[in-house]
Amino acid sequence: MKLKKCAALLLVSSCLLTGCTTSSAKKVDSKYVVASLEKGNKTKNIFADNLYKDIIDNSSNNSTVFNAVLQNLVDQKFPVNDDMKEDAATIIKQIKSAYKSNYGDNYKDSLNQALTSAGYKNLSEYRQKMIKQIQYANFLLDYIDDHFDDVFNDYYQQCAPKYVSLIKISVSDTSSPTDDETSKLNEVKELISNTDKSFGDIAQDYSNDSTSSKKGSLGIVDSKDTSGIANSYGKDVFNAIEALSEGQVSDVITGDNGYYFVKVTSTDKKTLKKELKKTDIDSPLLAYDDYLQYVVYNSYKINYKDKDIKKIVQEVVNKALEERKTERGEA
Amino acid sequence: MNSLKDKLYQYRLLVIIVCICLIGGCGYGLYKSFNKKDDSYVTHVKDGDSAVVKTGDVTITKDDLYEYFLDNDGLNMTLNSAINYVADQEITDEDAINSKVEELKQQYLQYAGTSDLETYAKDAGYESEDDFVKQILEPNAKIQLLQEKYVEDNFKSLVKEYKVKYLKYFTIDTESQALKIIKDCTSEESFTNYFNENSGTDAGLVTKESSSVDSKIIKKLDKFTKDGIYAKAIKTSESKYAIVWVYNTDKSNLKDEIKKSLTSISNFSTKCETSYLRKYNFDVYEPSIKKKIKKSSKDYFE
Repeated sequence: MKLKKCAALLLVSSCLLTGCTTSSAKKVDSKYVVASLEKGNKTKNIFADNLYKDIIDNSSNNSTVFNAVLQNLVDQKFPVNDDMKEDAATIIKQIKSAYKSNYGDNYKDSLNQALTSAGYKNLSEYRQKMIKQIQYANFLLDYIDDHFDDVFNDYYQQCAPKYVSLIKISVSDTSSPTDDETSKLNEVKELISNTDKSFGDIAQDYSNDSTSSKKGSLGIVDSKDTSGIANSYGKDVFNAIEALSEGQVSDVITGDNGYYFVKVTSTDKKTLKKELKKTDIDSPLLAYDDYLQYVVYNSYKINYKDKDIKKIVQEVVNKALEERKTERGEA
Repeated sequence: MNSLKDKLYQYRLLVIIVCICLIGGCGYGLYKSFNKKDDSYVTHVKDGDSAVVKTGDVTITKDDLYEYFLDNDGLNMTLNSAINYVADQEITDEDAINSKVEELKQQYLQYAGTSDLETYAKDAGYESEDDFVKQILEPNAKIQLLQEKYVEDNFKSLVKEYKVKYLKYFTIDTESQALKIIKDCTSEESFTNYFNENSGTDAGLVTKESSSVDSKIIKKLDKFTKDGIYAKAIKTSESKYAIVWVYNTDKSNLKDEIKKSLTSISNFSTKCETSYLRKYNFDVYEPSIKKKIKKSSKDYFE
């Protein structure tokens, strides 16, 4: 009886093993077939090797090959973990709550519409994308942490970051403001120009922006607009910030849904450096350099075992780093 | 008795060892499958386990890259590979291919606003003009010729299916007025007079996919069976009344124009590909890719 039980166990194990192997795979001449075509007695097999070779041999796919190497490097060095999933969930929660406060209980339709126009099928797909972005950010942050002084100095030089505060006077139609809106605007103008009340205090008491609770502070704004000022308040608001030096306050600016005043409160390098030292996913250091991924990739001591891949990847990386130099006038 | 017990014991041990090995192997398979992406693949490249890149404790294999390629664009990679093979088999007239390549070259140059295809090709990531011609223009030329062949071979049925008609029309505010005009239009000359008076539109070649003509007129395409005035006024989506003149119902001399028009319809390339892939008994053995292809169009398979 015991032997029979063992035989049964063996049978179950064999079945399990069969289930674990790639039972539906088709092979011809020990090569995996992805697809086939057949007409008359002529058969064409499209092998996995053909598809792989098509990509490697076509030079217009070089960046795809680089991305494949990079994604695998990121996947193995910074595998998706619970923290990343939690961060993504928090972001999704924030997005949902922002939509709910803007669109009320029927916010889901607006959110789905926004997701569709951004190319996502649903929130779950967006969440997956978000997790991948956080994973990628971790890859960059690891480098930034290890090379903080170099990255910060480069950022400071390239992007002239500054601390900025803002006052917003909401207006339903900027081409014909109501009497109340005009009188509020005039009062803020008067307070800025002819009283000692600080910009921050005026922001706290009068601004209609969500930053009013932080005395109008927008935090760090840079010439690359990594904080998305133009998107949130309008291009003219961003241009006005760009034109100001430390301590200066702008004239009234007509922006998105209102009038604005902006002030550059500080450009102190030490303060900026201290704040940016605590790098996180919102850090402008992650977004200021379009070529950072190539710089980071290049910091790894890569040992290529395949000469085609080596040639392709090195070509892509070198070309990108050359472009970076040219863009900075260093070439 | 003792020796039999010993034998059984030995045998049982052997079975257990075999089972452990089997489960171990299976366990490794499961471990690998859990560590793979959501859609894992059953196909692999030759020497897929061999490393292509190593850095520190990271090893990237050929299969890792292959799976990334499939994740990224496996559907199009497979379909393109299949349809390019079909085009290679069906389109063999070298002169026609060369002429089409030349036509495409001119289109690219016009699009790029340059006369230098070498620079255009290099900017697009190709090694040279020749590389660009070989990798892009030649396959595209063959695909276009394949589509033209498809129209040629199925001309009558496609004209019927897409409801190819030639028509001109104008609109009038009221039905009564429109019907009086229709009665009055006994010749093309009298139609032309009204057509000019009412700033009419010569729509030329129209198919069921045409969006430039009012959808209510498109719905009536089947009714336009002979040259001349259509006997009824068609109420348009803007609540006006269209008076339609049909021409070129004999399409035997208009093949080239119709061919060009049909091949430019947005879903036509899928229709043509579907037809040829079915003719060639196209099948896919990588389940996740097959699922994606079926999702994009279930007609690809018999």
